[in-house]
Amino acid sequence: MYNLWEIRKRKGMSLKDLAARTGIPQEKLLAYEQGKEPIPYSDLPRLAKALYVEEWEIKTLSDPPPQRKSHPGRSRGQQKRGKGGRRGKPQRSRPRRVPPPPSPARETQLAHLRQLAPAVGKTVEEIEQMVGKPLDQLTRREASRLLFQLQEILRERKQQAKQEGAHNRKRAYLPEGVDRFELEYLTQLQEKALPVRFHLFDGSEVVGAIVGFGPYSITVRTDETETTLNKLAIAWYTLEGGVQ
Amino acid sequence: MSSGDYLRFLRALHGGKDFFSIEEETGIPSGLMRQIEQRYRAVGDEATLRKLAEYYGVPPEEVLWRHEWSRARLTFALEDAMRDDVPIRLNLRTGESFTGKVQWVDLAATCLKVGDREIIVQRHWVDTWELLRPEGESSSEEDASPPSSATGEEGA
Repeated sequence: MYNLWEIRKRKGMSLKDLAARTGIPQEKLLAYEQGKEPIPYSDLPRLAKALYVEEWEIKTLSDPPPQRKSHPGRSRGQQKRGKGGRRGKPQRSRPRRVPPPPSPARETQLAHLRQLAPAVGKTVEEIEQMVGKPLDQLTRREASRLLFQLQEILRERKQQAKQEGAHNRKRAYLPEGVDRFELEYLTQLQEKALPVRFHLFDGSEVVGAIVGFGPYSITVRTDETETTLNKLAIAWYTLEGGVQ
Repeated sequence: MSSGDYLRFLRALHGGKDFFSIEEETGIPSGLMRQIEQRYRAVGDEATLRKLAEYYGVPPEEVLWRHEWSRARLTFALEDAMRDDVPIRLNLRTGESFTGKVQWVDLAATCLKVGDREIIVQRHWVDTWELLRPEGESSSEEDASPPSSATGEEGA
């Protein structure tokens, strides 16, 4: 006959597993294993079945399991457990390391702050009032946060100025690099196939319908011939007979 | 007329060669010609402008004094005329003059409504201009163009 805890360990089963398999509460099983209570006959079949043994193999009153000896080399945390038997954090013999004092703000951070202050419309003194201490007493983290705040303010102001500028723009957008309007105009003329009068730099004129054009030239059909005009040579042109 | 527009005008008079050919012949950096002619700000240093003036056979001063006037000046005047809905007079180097309301402004050309006609004027032929604001309205210095020539000599 064997103790209940012996059989359970031999089968590689935890107390929790056995409780789950038998439906007997863990506390009850623990009391059986420690010999505090005899195993009642009503529970024996369930235990035997769960442990794959015969009923007679289980001692109805177990001998208490041997106390686990503490290992001298083990850490302190493994020897002593927290309240309620749960594993607690290892206890420290040495006091917790005191964190180092926060690093002071870098010179570059302070220089940047002094530079940003007027940009956001504040004096250095106002900034110091805002943070409640002189700038050179700021920690690195505080300076970093303050820099971020000021940059945010600056970014918002720029955005606002940009939007206002768009409304108050005195000059229209300069169409640098594009000839959109002229290309659209030429396209319309080409589609209508109406005669256009081109006045060239030497005073001569070409009248015809536009059959094609590119950035640098316009091809015109005059009677039965096609003439390609370099746009550089054209002084002005107009639809023959006015606006259609 | 700005140096950019003037050089474009000179190029037109000299057979309308492309930028690449002129840059190769004059030895000025590739791509600079296009910038000089098309950028609204004044592009190109004095040495480059002198080379181009020599190439086109005009006194360097004719190009250099125009460099003070960016291409944007004419564009601004045209934009103002369009915004304020006032007529503008464009005096062309062909001797013609057009007065009308600006319909649109482009990189190289502008559209003027003259009577019932729409006239597309290539801006490198615009020598001088004048915004014709109603009497009593203040005019800005950009309303009028610079004098057509500083030296009194025209290269073309």
